[in-house]
Formats: sequence, structure tokens, C-alpha cells
Amino acid sequence: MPRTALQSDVTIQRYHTIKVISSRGLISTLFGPGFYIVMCLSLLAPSILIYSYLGSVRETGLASMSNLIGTPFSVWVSIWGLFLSISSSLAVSREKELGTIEELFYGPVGPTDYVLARYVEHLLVYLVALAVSVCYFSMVSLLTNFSMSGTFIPTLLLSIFSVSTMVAFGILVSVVASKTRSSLTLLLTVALIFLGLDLAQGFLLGHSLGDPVGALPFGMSVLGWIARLTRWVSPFSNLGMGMDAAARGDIRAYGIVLVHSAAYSCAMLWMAVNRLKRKGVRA
Amino acid sequence: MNEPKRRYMSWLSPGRLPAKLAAATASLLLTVTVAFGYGAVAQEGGTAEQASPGREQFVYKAILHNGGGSYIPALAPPEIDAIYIVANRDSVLSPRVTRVYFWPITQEYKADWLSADEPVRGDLEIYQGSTLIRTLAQRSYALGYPTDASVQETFLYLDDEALNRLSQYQTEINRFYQMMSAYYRDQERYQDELWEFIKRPGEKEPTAPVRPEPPDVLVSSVERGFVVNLPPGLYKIQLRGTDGAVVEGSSKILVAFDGYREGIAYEVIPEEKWTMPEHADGPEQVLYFARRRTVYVRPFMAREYDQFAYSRLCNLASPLAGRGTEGTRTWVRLDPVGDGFYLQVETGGPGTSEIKKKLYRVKQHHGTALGYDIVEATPADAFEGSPSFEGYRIDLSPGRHYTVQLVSSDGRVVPGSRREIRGVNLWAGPVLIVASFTPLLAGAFVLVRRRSLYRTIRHEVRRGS
Repeated sequence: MPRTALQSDVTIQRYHTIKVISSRGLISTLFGPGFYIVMCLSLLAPSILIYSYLGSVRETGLASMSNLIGTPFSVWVSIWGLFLSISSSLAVSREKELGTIEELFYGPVGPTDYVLARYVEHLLVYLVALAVSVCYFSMVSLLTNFSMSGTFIPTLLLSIFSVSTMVAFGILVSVVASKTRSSLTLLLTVALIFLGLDLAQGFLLGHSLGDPVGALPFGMSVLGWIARLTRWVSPFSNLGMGMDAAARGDIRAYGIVLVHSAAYSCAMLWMAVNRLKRKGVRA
Repeated sequence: MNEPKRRYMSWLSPGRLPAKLAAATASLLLTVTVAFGYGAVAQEGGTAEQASPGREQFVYKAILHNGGGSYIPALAPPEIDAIYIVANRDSVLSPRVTRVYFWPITQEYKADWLSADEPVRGDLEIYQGSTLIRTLAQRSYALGYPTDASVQETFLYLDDEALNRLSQYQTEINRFYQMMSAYYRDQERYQDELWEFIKRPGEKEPTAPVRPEPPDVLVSSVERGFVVNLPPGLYKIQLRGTDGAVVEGSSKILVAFDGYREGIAYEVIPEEKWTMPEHADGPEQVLYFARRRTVYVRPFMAREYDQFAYSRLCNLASPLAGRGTEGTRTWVRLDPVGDGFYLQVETGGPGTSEIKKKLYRVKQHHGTALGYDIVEATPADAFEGSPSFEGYRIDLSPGRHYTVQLVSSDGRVVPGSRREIRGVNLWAGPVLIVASFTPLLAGAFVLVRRRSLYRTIRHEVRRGS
């Protein structure tokens, strides 16, 4: 058989393998309770936030606010990102622990196919969830009369890239960690550090800066520097950076965030595949 | 592999990663805590500093352009190592020796100009990297402050103009004082004539004297300093004294920063609490309201700056100003938009309405109960003093969606002036919370359906076998 035809066959087979594994995973997720529970929680959190915004307008009578749809949407994305990174990490590490991957690797499935299939599966789950969220946030805008600004569509696109980094990160963690429990602890610790830094900085920035009190400004400086250093390493910070760029209308910065997210995901997946190839799949 | 290296590599192995990450988190938390603690101790140090009497030091007395039409007086003592200025605008740095002390209440350095204020002679050297790009000589300058409180502009006069303006102002103010003396004399005579007129009403009614107007602009005394106008960038400055040596304490970093975006910021005064306006500074800000109300809109020229740099510019002598805001942006309201514009309001339906700027007066209710009315100021009520504010009045109906923008008299829309005003539906909050549980219903349906499908298949398999 000519070399090109052989290569073409391998590509078709790889595509088929990825399609089968990812579609099975997608169906299994959609028919399981987890998807609906997370969907409920991810809609409840923004609803509570929107309820508090409405309360604020009711109390003050007139309020100047920005991104009343974007901020709840970013909360929604964070919940889904966290869920999908944990889900992808657990899926891989559990199969690793049970030896399922080893069995697959004896067959026509290679590390690249497997990692890509898991990645695509979770992205597909996210796309389904995203479709629901678009309906929900459109309904929010319609019912509350909150402005769905022009940055909402760029934010939707950005969220796919952002979740992609979280899923890829989850897969890498599951490949690196030896046990399911280790993988979960590792992922949650990293998420807590990065999300905690973001939240702490956001909380401190919300304080009055005109009248700096006590050690607050120093802490803010330190947190600011740490957040700036971890910004490009954290899989959870792309969304915030991209949303800021979209709000400013800074297409270049927005593009950089998209490219960074794509490169980050590719790097994570490449490292996961390499790790599986070099170290094998035994827990 | 030798023992230390092996031990190091084993620490990096993934087997103990969670424990290591926990250790890393603890280290990070410890770092942040230590930083907070250091901050507290540093602040205590600052407080202790005020106990020592102010000593004579070299300072830059600065007049910094605010990016609009005003200047901010500032002080750069030796403890402040960087001066922030708006790029491509004239700011003045005047080298002085004065007594500096730390004022803990406002957490800033202050100068006791009355006890010591000695100008320092020399030239200012400006370096970019290690290259000397400019050497500036000191120039005369004076500031002009409009006496009309509604005008927020400040003027900087340089060289001969400063001297001429000051001389002109002194002539005008002397004339004003003479006219005021004459006015008081005329006023006294008028009172006497009025008294006579009351006693003998048949005679001609006396006319009251007209109070003279003060000069339009108050001019400060002329001082000498370096007029710095630089493109955006990071510079180093130092003062070379007349003896050729660099003056001690004169070396500083000079940061010239520019704005990111320009636009219109709005101050929105709600009728029922006119002293507590809302601000829609950036174009992404949307104004939300709940009930039928009237608002008065005041537009300002605005520019978006780096928040840290602008905080440092406004509070140069405060070491804590701007801390923690590095890398963030802020919209700065500059001067009010002048005349020659109207506010175009779109309500979603056909056509738009055009609102003209008017003067308004806040009239307090009589009696002990608090209350006021906002009415349009007319020439007839000029005796009540100057109007309270000038703005565009908009009546808002609940549930409606308005878009406002500033349009010049020749029909051009001012860029960055478009804002949305939306009436929110308060009832939607509980509805959304209830709607959030819909996925659980969908999930329950899917699970039940799946189970029944599974039972059917199992039943058919059994029947088939």
C-alpha cells in the first residue's frame, strides 16, 4: 500500500476512534444526573447574582452598572469550567486506575486518540451547556431588561477557549497524578489557589482606594503582583482577561487571549500525550 | 545519581504532588500574610515619623497638569522616588528647600512653606535610559484661577506672559479695591437718601449703587520652575546645581503617561436626591432605574487612564496612593462639556427627542420639614443667587429603554457619548431563581425515560431468549 494511502487510513481510523469515544462519553454525560445538577447550580448562582442586582436598583432607585449579563455569565462559565476540568480529570484517572485505558491501548487506540477523544467529549458537553446558557441569558435580558451588551458574543467565543484550557489542564493533572484521589486533590488545590487569588484581588479592589487604611494597600500590591505573575499560567484567568479586552474594544488583546488559550490547551494536551507515551498508563 | 540530587528529584515526583501543592499553598498564604504584616509595620513606621520634627530637605514643588484643563499642586519629597505626569502637557517642577513632615491622619508628606521656602538654582537634566535627552532651565510661571466658581479651568502662564498677567491682575485688583471703597461710600449715601425718601416719599427715589465685579481671573505670584512636557515614557531627572554637582535628593524617576481612550462621562442627578449623583463614566456603563423618575444629566469630557499612575499624579505626596491598582484602568472626569451641544434621546420608538441644556435652581421648602424642588432658573429669580447646576432634564418611564447621546449644534454625534438608560423589571428576580431549577426537571425526565427504555430492552431481550 502506498505510504500516503496508509497515512490517510490512519487519520480516518484516528478520527473514527475519537468520534466513537467522545460521542459515547457525551451521551453518557447527557443521560447522567451530573449534567443536570451542575446545570441547575450554574444557573442558580447567576440568578441569585441578578436578583441582588435588581435589589440594588430597587434600593437606590437609580444605579450605574456595567456588564450585568457578562458577570453572571462568567460565574456560569467558571462553574462549568471547574466541573468539566474535574470531570475530565476523574474520567481519565478512574479509567487509568481500573486499567481500562491499558486495555484500550492494546487495541487500535493510542495515547493521542484517547487524550483528544476525552478533550473533545468534554468540549462537546460544554457546547451543549452553552446552548442552554444562551437561551437562559437571553431570557434574563428579556425579563429583567438588563443590557446584553455587544461584548456578549465575543464572551461566548472566549468561554469555549477558556473552558478548553480548563479541560486540557484537568486531563494533564489526571495523567500526572497516580491515583484518582491525588488527581482530584491536585486539581482542587490548583483551582483554589488561582481562583482564590482572583477573588481576593477582586475583593480588595472593591474597597475604597481613596482612603487607604492599615496594611490593605500593601496586601493589594502583593496580591496584584502575584496575580500578574500567575495570569498567564492559570487556566482560570483567560476568561477575565478576554472579557476586559472585549469591554475595552481592544481586538489585539482579545486575539492574544484567544491565541494564548489555544496554545495553552495544545501544550497541556501535548504534555499529557507525551507523559502517557513515556510513562505508560499503569497507576 | 548523588544523594542530594536524588532526594530533590524524588520531591519533584508526582506521587507526593498533592502534599507538595498544599505546602506551596501554605507558603503562598504565608508570603501574603507577611506582606500584610510588613504593610502594617511600615505604616506604624510612618506614624512614628511624624513624631520627629520636620527637617529642611530638597523637594520638588510641582504643578501637575490633570489631563483636562486644570492643574494639581503637588509635593515630591525625597521619600517619594517617582513623579507621575500626563504626557505631552506642561507640568511644572520647582526645586525648593523646605521643611517636610509626615501627616499621619491623611498618610502623606507635607511641607511647611512658611517656615522655610528657599528656591534652588540649577538646570534639570532629563535622561531616557542612560541618554541625556533634555536639559531644562528654570522659567517664570504663574497660575490663573477664574473667579467664577462654575469654571473649573486653571491657566498656566509662562515667562513674560506670567509677569504681564500678574502686573495686569495687580492693576485690576487695585482698581477693584478702589471701586469697592467708592461702592461702600455710595452705599452709605444711598442708605441715607433712602431714609430721607421714606420720610418724604414725594421726592425722587434714589438709585442703588452697582456693586463692582472683581477681575475674571485671580493670578498667583510669579515663581520659577522647570516646565516639563514629555511624550509617554519612563525618564530619570536630576538637578545639576550651579557648582556643576548633582543636588542631593534631586534624582527621581519621571513617568509620563497618556490616556487610553477619550469619551464623555455623565453625572446623573436623581431629582429626589440631587446631592448624591450617579456616574456613568465609561461607555460600558448602563444606567438602570426602577420607578418613574426625573434625572438631570451633566456631561463631562473624560479620559481613561492607568489607575495607578493617575492616583499617584493626584496624591503624589502619599506613599500609599494607588497601591494595589497596578494594571487597572479608570475613567477620569475632566472639564464639563461647554455650550453648543444638545442631548439626543431615543426611546426605541420612531423619532428622537432633543433636549437642551438649562440652568436649574434647587429651592428648599419652607418650614421645619426637609424637602426641596428643582425648578428651572429664570432671569426673574436671579436675585436668589447663582443657579444650583446646569444640565439636561430627562423624564424616565418604568420599563422603557432609552439611548442618549450628545450631539453638537452642527449635527455631529460626540464620540463616546452614547449611553443606555434602562428601566428594570423587579419582578423578574424570583422568576429567574425558580427557572434555574428547570434543568433538574429535565434531568429527572431523562433519567425516568432512560430507565423505562432500559426496562423495555431488558424485557424484549428476555422474551427473545
